[in-house]
Amino acid sequence: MSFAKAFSPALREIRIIFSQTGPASAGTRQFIVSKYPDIKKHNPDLPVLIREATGTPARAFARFARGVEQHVELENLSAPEVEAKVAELISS
Amino acid sequence: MLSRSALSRSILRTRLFSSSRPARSDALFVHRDTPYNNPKIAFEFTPENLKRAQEIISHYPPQYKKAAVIPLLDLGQRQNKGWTSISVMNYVANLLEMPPMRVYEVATFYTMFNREPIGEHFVQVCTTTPCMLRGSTEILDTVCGHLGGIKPGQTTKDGKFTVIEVECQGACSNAPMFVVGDDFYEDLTPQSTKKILDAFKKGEKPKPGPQSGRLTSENSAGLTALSSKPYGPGEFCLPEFQ
Amino acid sequence: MLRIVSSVSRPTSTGLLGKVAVTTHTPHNGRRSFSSTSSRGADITLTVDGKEVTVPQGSALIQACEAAGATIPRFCYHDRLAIAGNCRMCLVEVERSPKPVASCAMPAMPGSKVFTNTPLVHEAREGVMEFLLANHPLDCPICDQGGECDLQDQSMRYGSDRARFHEITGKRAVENKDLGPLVKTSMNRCIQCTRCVRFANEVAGVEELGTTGRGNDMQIGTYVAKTMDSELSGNVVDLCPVGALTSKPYAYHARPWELKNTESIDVMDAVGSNIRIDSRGVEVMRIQPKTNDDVNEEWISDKTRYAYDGLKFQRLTTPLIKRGDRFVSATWEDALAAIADGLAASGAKDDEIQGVVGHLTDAESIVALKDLINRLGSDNLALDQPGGNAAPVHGVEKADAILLIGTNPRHEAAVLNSRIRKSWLHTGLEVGLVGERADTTYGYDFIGEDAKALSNFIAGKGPFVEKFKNAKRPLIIVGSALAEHPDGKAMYNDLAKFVEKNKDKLVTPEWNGFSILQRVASRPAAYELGFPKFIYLLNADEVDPKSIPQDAFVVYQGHHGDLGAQLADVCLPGVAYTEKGVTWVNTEGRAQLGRAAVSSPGASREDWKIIRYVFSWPIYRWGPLPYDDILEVRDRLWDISPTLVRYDVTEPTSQEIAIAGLKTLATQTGGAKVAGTPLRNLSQTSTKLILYQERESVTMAQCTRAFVKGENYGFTAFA
Repeated sequence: MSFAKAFSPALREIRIIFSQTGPASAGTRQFIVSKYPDIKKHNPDLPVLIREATGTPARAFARFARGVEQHVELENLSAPEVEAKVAELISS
Repeated sequence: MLSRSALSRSILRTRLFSSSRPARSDALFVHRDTPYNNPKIAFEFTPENLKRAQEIISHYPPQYKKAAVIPLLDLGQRQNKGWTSISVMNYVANLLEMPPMRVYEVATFYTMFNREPIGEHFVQVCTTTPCMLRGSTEILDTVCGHLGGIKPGQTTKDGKFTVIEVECQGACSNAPMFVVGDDFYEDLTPQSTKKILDAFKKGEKPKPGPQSGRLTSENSAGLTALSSKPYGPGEFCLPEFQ
Repeated sequence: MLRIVSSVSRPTSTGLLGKVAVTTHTPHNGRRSFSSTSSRGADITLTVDGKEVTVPQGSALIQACEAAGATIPRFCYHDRLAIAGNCRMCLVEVERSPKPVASCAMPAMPGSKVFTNTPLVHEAREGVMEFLLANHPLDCPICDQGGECDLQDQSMRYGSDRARFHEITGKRAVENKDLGPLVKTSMNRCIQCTRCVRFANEVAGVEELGTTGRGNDMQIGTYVAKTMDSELSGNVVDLCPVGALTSKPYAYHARPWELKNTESIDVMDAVGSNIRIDSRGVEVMRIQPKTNDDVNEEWISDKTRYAYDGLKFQRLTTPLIKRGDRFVSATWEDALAAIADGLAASGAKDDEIQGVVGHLTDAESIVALKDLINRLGSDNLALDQPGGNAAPVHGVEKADAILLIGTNPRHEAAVLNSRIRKSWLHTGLEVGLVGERADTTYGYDFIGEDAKALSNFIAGKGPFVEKFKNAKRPLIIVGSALAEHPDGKAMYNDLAKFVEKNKDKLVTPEWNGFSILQRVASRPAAYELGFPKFIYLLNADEVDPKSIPQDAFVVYQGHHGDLGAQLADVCLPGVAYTEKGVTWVNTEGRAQLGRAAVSSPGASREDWKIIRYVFSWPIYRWGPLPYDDILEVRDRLWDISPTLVRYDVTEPTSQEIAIAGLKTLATQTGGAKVAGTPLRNLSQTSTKLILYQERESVTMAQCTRAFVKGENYGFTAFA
């Protein structure tokens, strides 16, 4: 799924948590560097929160209507895998 | 103990102690705004003084302009009729790019910066030991009495004279002496003091220096050394070297 | 390292020597009159009382003795101020030295033998103590410093047991100075240690205190009748070892042994200074600083220190429901029911429900509110600065060039400003300012007042460009005023592009040079558009009443009956920062844990608990928020951002992420037009007003009258 499009309005917020330096989050970091500008370009009003903390496991959260949240683990995944997982999360 | 009379008991009740005079400074070390001394009164160096000030500042490294604060305050004092008002201090602070508080600290530290107005003639009588041994108390009394009965530290009513006692001025061999403005009047007697003060009152400036007629601190009884002609080259030598 | 000043300073009324064009105008003339060695040499070893100790070269002997475990008494020495060496209390015996040596002024020499316990040292201490006490008044019973007085403690420990003072003339008397509504002076007690003078000169940057006169007549003061116009003036109260400078609002209120100390975090500005709350019973008696080398060193700003008296007035203690035009106090159940009814009656759906977060809100309650609002279907919550993450202000002391945009850190984050000043004094820091000209206590290059000046700077024209280009660790600090300024978007755009261009200097793996200075302890409250029908104000008192529609149902949760409460239909009493143990995040992104010092008044409850229970009424379909105690709230915080539960550390931003964010910032703010209005630091008076603004505090009101308006503030010297 390409990230260069507007997401459905049911998605209210994306939150990605990862470690700045750990190798387990390398895929996540790459994903953000490559895809974040696109996501923001096509969804300018969608809050996309990037939160980094040393040593924390990489995870992504998506918040939908009525405060319902889903999350996926992104530890030790490479960038394409991360992309796939996040796409799955967003469309769920 | 048994033979104490009532009288002596009452004497014993009153505690006899001697007290020394409290040694307080005669200057105030905070500034109070008065109509004649407040920051709103403007003060500037005259163009001539400004040139002098620039010359003084050039003696010091450029990043240490504040080193010139003492000479400039003195220059300002001289221009301001002999006293350093708060406006002078603020002006010098501005000129030297220092915070005013640093200038206030310097101006209050040194006693020669008068922070209150003084008379036209500033009579500073030395009363330290060498002068005192030679009769400076009498000179001081003469001065104060002759100027209308003022006390040391006060200014005459017509604003012409301010009299203070100062510490040793370094003219001990010409004691007693006083300083008027920048000039020393030495070898004083009550008569010569009165003569000097009268001359100032008339507006003249008497000749500074020893008033007893001798040259600086020469021996008034005559030379005890160097009374003969100094020998020149060749005198008292063997014939070969004459 | 001595700084040679080449820039010409402010023009005087008489014109300066030589006509040098004044391109840089700084009130402090770029003059830095202090030098210090910056390099650390090898360590040296010496012997103190028979014990070998190793200290870095260049440290004073007193530091070596302290490292060896020998306590040295002192009055004038303070490790964050310059060395004075005038109290002579720190005398120690050094082998082969004819006289005892002032250990604070003597550098530690390798191989020297130092003795701190010999008869010579004891006699020296007793002698110095006798001299200090000779002119010290017998004020202990009425002196505020009693119980925590250095002079008392050291005379008991090191002084002689009997006095020899039989002067008939009595002791010296010195008149009291008026330093403002915060610092009470009783100069009879002053021992002329000059700590306050050095503090005012170096740390606070206001060179107004000094020593006038000399000898017995030396007085510490401002010479002319001036108040101590510094936002850090309260710190001299801590510094003064005797009771000469004491806290005026705290005068005669308590003795130190009655007080219970609780360490917590301050919320009056975004610095997050560590404080120690001294309380007696349920009342906060005073706030003292706690040393934290990373955040606030040992200083706190005046507002932090003195605004606590507002905690006693106008508190909300019971839930209030508006009936007609007055409030009626109610029980919690009634209030919660009223809110439920209000929500239903207003018919608000989704984004018509708005949550507004004000100042002084902690992380736990913000997260609770966000969850609540989201569950109600809305996303209408006060957001961060435009562009997403607000980069924290990091590493101010390591920077060697700082660009300030639209901010006056002196008023917005006073202690941060003192760190910038410390850097400016002791290293070669250069500072440039875009925005309103103001006295920041250090010299800066003034670049301009508006967005045009910023774009000129970015284009490489004008002053300060060279210095910024040559800096190895440049730092840009953007003020929060930018978000509220019409040109803010354009300026952000320019900045984003500039940072990207220079990213090899500004954003490296070790150094993030782009940061935003927050002004308030919670995220700043910017407003979303939309016409809300149900508004939940969480401590929000900066709300513009005009922005609230007439028929909206407003719930206010907070601890003071301030502006927000007036607008509300239901008021829920929360607790103030001294009464809850919650997480605060400062402008550096550092999460710190505050602690509750006193119990809360009346029926008030902790903020997150209120939010948790507001909509837990069984009639609501979506169920209560999933946390029941503080640890579960913190688990939720961890889900949102792990840094929020990592206390006392700052996380560095990673380089690529920062760059990605900047790229987005650039594209988002592209196309904004520049109107060219000058940047006001939230307008000059109100920056200073912000400095002293705590509406319920009497002390702050007096400060505003004294320092902002210059009026007679109505406090006598004897109060």
